[in-house]
Amino acid sequence: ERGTVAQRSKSNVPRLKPSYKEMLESNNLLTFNGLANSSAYHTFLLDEERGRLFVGAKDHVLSFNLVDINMDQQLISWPSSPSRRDECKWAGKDVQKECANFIKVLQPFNQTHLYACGTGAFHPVCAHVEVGKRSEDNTFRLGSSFENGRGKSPYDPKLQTASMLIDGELYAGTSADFMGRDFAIFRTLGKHHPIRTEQHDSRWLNDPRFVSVHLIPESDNAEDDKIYLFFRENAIDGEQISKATHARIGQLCKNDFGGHRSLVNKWTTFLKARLVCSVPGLNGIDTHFDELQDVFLMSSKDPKNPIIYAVFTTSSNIFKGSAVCMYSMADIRRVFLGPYAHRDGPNYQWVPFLNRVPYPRPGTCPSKTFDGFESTKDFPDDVITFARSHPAMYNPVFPINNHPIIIKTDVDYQFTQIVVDRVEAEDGQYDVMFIGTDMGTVLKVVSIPRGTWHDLEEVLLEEMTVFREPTAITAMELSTKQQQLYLGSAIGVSQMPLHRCDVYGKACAECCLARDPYCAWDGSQCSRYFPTAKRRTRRQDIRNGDPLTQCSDLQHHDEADGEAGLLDKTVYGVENSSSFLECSPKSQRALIYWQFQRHGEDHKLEIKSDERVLGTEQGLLIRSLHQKDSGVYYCHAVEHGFIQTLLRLTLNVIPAEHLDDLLHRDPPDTNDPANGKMWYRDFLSLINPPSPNSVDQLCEQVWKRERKQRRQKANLLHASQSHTSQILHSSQSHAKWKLLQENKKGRNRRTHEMQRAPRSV
Amino acid sequence: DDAQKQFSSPTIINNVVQDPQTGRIYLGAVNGIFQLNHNLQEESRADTGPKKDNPQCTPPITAKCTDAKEMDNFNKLLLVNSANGTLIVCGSLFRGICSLVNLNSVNKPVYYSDTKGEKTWVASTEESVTVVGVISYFKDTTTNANLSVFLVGKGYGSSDSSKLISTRLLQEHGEMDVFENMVEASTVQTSSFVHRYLHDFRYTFKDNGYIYFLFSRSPGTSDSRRITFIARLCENDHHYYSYTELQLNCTVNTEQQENTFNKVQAAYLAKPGKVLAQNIVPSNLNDKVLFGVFSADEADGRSALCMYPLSSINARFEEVIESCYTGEVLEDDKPKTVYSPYNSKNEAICRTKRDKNMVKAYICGAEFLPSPLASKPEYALAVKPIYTGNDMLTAVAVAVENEHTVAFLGTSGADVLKVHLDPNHTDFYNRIPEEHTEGAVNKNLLFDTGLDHLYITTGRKISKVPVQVCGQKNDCRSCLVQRDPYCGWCVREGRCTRKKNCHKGEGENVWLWGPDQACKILEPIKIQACIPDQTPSNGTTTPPSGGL
Repeated sequence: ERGTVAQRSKSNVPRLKPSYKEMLESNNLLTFNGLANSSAYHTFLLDEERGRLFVGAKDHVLSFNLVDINMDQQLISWPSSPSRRDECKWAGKDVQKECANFIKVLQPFNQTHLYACGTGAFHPVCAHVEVGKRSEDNTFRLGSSFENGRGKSPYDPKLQTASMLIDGELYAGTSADFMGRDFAIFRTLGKHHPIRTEQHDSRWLNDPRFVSVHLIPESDNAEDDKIYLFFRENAIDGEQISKATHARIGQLCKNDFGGHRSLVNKWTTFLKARLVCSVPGLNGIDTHFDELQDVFLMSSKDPKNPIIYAVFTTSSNIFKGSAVCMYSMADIRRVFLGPYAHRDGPNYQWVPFLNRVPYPRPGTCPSKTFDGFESTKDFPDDVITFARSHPAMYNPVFPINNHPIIIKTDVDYQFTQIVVDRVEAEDGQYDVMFIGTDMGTVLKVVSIPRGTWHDLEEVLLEEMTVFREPTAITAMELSTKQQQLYLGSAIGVSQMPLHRCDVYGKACAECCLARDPYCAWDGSQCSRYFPTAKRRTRRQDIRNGDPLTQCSDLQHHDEADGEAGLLDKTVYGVENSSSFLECSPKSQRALIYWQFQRHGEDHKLEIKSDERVLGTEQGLLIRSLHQKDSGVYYCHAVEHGFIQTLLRLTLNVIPAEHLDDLLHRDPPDTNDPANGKMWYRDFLSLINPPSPNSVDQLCEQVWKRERKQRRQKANLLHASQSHTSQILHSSQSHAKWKLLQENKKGRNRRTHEMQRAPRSV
Repeated sequence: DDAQKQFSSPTIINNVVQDPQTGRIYLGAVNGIFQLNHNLQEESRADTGPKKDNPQCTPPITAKCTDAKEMDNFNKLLLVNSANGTLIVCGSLFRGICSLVNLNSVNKPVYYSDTKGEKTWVASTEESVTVVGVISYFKDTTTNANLSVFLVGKGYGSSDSSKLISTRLLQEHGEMDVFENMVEASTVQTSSFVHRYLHDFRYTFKDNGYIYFLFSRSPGTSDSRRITFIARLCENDHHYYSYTELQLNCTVNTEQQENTFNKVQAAYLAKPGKVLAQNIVPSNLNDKVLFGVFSADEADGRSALCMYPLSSINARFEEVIESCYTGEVLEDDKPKTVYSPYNSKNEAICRTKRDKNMVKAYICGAEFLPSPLASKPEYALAVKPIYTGNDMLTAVAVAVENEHTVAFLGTSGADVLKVHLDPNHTDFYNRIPEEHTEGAVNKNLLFDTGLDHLYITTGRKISKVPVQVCGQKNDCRSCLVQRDPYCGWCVREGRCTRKKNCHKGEGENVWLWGPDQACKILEPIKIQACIPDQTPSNGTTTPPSGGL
């Protein structure tokens, strides 16, 4: 029976779903709601050493304290000049939304300065920002000299840019002209001549949108260092450029200085390959997630082989979906060493290039140990010619396990950002993914192996609303030192902790069911897990989430806690009326099931929904009470195979004839006009039932009046009402009825009252 | 002195240019450059090929270049740079690189380098790709130096530069090399992989601070019918923001059908004679006119000559540019008069409402103003041909004589037609036949410095022929009936001559021309000439026709 119930669990909903208000009230969210004259908090630079988060926004650069973003904020104002705004206006751009200086590049430059670039009202501009050496320095100042920002920042604030500053050189994938037609990968700054991709060659870049840039060493030799870019671009399918999108990974050598005669000041080692993130279909047709949105590199001990997490969405406007795929550098390198894509002309099919590939192989980095090819300027002409005409690899890169690790298609949001934290837990390491959406929420997901690491199960722990209104999360940074997450959007910046163990409840079972790698039961509460803590006191099970194995030796203690946590209620209902027994677990993943124990019996029956009894996620609705319904009802929460009793409820059904007797004993006092009016209102309420949503409100009102009456007339029948509605069919025009609900003490009082009634007669 | 002079090249002549200061003629032929004096006597020559080459290899050609073989060097571009005494020579070898030779002795190289790489690939490796060029200037914004450059218009070639328009340096400047491209403009570039436009450049000229290119191209859509455009660019435009294309139509409307001549073959810029100017540009008699010879897509050889006043061209440019700058759009928000060529995106240009003064204030465009622009077909500058014929026209040159306009039209059959461009009665009145026909007339028809002779190039031969042959007409009637603006009857001398060759020709009734002046006016004069006492006193013999 338990197995059957367990299979009905809901695995695709977040276990907890706190609202924005709940996040604020539980002190789990800090928000910066934006400056009055700014927006677009999209460019983040997290500086652990200084303890600062630098944010580029509209016309401003801000500096936040990593401990609390609302502590000692600093601000630089950097608007565009009026003449630039005028030119932007004459170009037909939106003065408010486009003709401003949107900061697009924010990179550390040296020990004392950052390098910042903005759109400059469609005239990109760059400058240095002085930040001082240590966090004690309060320096935060814009440099006085400005530089041309072309090839560093886009002109159009709607266009994404990806940039990275390495050894004083800025690598950027961006748009490089006013009209947004020329997209390229640039290397600027530094002492060398700027380098860019070939201009206007759709084989190289076909209307690309750049997502991120990363430096990944190829070997221990720095000359083999490669720059990897992640972008999406239009697919080329024959003569007509289709509207399909491909996700791409591109590579360049860090020591590429262009060709000598051809590809002068152009990349000579640029190669690109497709990133596939798809789900196999039953009929052999895959469903593709092609719109690459964000990339996160999970570093390990080996800096040459990070795990790459990539967020994708669908291209379709009808079918909304998101996915996360993981890629390994071994697979990526294998593709770049595989066949090049080739076609004889625009009307030909793409085929693998099977002829002789020139030496050294295009895409190889020059090296001093490479005899005769110490620089890209030494590359032979046939290498350059081949590199120019064959930038794409034939084979795509498939994800680890050939499958996305997260797929979301049944929701009204899409993924926008991802960061991953590797967490040490009792039974191993777990990668916890924090995923930002376009609705201002953050998903906390942990990837758990079912049997082996080749069969991963995604467990959606939480979905947290972190902005006051739905808005796309456009920036996300994680501070392992602070154990905090920082989020950017158009309307502001938010900060939240990576773990909120205290919200998982007061019981060992709840803590285990949460399956949060950060959290463990420490003997008295759910708290942050530390590997150094004494093993005897730790209760944590991420892989299985099974409280039975982790909490069984605390059974007695749990029962004691259960006594405190377990609700014990008594409810009265009138025969043939309706009754709603409310039971709602905190966990969204738990399923509710009910058991019924008739009075005087030991046997418990599981309650199945039928015409008369309906089980819902919030409780049990009994449409028409029968005498046989009297008894004890148990509400159980079933989650991940574990059953937990949340509520024990005793229901007493009053026979209809008894109600008549009760009503007869309380005739109205004709000498009290106020009482008569109140009686009349009650009667009208009964014969005109209110809407279900206001039943509680009505009962509360009646109950309050009864309490007042009780003080006035001690001899009146004492009662209270709860969660019940009924249409009275009695012919007794002067009678009234009441539903009764009391705790144990109340029950005794009721008996006493009944005994006193005959005496008054 | 008027005897026909000619020079024969050992190979086909590709280009012909003239130094206006010295009158010298320079031939760019296959594998050779020839310097001729004004009488077509060879003064100097230089070999340009054949040489080992492979268009797929990056020059210089070494042993690493497999499949290199002896290849001819077609001359793609020949330009006289009188300012510094050099001749610019661009060939088809080595990816279309150029060299500079001495204008006084073409066998003296001034500059040549095949090691500078793709930035100096100017012309085309393909024989069928046409290249035109014009010398201009480029002001360096950092040093304020006035650099000598030439602008090149070139069609698509698979192995050479992908630039339609490029600006090439003619001197060393800082780290930049001679012939290096100076403008990285995204506006007039086509994707080097998709050749959809197939530009065929035919002519280029400068006027009043602008550079004009004349070419035909396809629309870039599935329609492959070619259209003729004139493109205009400001001199010293560092980003080609001013680049605009205007469609030119040369169309005959008859009752039966509309015949369109859609492909320009050659063109000539000249100031027309007063008689023609009063008809086509009455408000600006000093206006220049672009004369173009056009052919049709149909292969029947029909051809036409059309005239476009430069003021009309510029007025239409201003009209379509202003319409765009001031935000005139149609119901579907598309521009009214222009579209954005060479751009696959459907951008919403011309939607912004701007002041009319913007056109004047930014006459050369700006980064924030829409460019490039091309006129829509309905805003083409459309004119009717002034002459049509069944000979395929391949060349044109225009001269003015006694306020009349004469067009010399080269044909694919190696003839040159003489056409009097009379607004009331255009007439083809003479044909300069070519002996030993060999190919079409080269589009470079040139006059000598005195405008007395025409240089005609066909195949491997260039000839110097007089613009008129009046002496062949022996009587007054035959002299006047052809209405040749060059030929009139010199009464005193009793022969058919040019006006300037008739003594006291400016006097009334001394040099007769035109149908209104019938030859019968000669009779009283002849009678007067017969008075015996005057005749012996002059000492001249009586003409044979006047025998007593």
